[in-house]
Amino acid sequence: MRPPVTDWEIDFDHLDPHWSENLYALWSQLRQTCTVATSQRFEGGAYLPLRYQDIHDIAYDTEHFSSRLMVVRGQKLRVSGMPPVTSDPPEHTPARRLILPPFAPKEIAKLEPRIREIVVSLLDALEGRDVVDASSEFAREIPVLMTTDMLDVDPSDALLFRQWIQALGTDSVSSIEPAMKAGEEVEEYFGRYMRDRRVNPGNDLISYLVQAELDGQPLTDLHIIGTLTLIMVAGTETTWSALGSALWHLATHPDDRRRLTAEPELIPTAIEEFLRAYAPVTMGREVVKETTVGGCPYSRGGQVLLSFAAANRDPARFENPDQVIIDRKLNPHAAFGLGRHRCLGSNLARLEMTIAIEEWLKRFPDFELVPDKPVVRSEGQLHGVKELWVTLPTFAPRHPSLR
Amino acid sequence: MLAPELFDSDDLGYGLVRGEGIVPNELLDKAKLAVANCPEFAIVIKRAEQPTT
Repeated sequence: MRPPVTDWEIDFDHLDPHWSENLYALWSQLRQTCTVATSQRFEGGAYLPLRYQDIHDIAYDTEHFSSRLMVVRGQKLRVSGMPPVTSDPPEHTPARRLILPPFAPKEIAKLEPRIREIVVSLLDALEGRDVVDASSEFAREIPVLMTTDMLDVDPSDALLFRQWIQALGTDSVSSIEPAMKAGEEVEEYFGRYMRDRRVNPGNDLISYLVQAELDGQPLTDLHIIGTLTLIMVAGTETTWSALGSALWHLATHPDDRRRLTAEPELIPTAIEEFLRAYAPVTMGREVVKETTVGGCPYSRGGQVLLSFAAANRDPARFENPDQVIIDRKLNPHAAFGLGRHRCLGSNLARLEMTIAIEEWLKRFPDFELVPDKPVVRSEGQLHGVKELWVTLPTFAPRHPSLR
Repeated sequence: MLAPELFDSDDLGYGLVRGEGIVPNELLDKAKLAVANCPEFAIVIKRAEQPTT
């Protein structure tokens, strides 16, 4: 049991239950008195900058802040790298360029029919039920099925992915043993696929990586496995959390729900606002050289929670940041990160979210929270809704194709 | 994409300006919208030194 936080300014803890339950109110309150919260609960000390400008500057400053540390933990853990997200310059650029082509907008656009097919079949399975968990029965499955599709692995392995992500992420904040064990299992799992696709290549991301070259040389086994681990981690729970938040918002804001049902062309704009207001990801950095950002000192060896979600709620950057305005015009949000590590799966995430909301509202324009079921939120460095029980009116109009 | 008439992307997904990057008057509002919404502050509009008809 972690000691409860009494002073968030100098003793924050992203594993405290108050964190995930009251994230936005907590940040808003912290901003009244400080620009950077600190904590000694984490090896080397930890920092939580709250201003957009500071978060931006740290993301761009690879001289003082290294990406080799992704998760802020009690005990620092040097996991095997997941290039390019854990890479710093000069290794970063070639490792990133290598994996950009399959995620470029034109390639991702080709996946639209497949995403829609997955979304529609998930909705079909919910038809006729009065009460469903919109997050784990719908939001979660879309990115998971797309990721296992793109890797061409068994969709039922998604359960293993979830357990590994939990062990490597949230659970590893207080104890690193399960993370080390999960790391070995992940290496074994992707190692097996890597060896198989070398012999039996297909049209999937694992085959793409085993055939890829860096400076005329094939990638090392460690590089391939690391990038596959990244695709697993980055492609699933993030979009799940974000889409869970979007559905939660629509379940609890009937006016916005009705408007998007009536004006589906507004959905992509609304998705940007959901991404801003409910950005799912906070990344980590390690201070590798002492420096000052926004007037605050950062000492060497410190860990930084680089919260793009907090940046998106900074009133100095966004007007009425705590208000969700689904037709917000000025919205240069940082949900996908800033600088060289900006999410390379953003086009896929946006497309999955847009299709999911379009098809959900077509099928279930009216849905509300089940009053006595608590909403379960993501924890630690992930922000979002992972369990969302909603009622579907029994008189819900059928899908147009079934009428 | 906010202004597909003005921007495209390459095979790596990096943004590109279409053509010569000259913004016709009727697309000026869209160009301004793109500037204001770029999270990386990567887009700037400059006034042409000579009017391009």
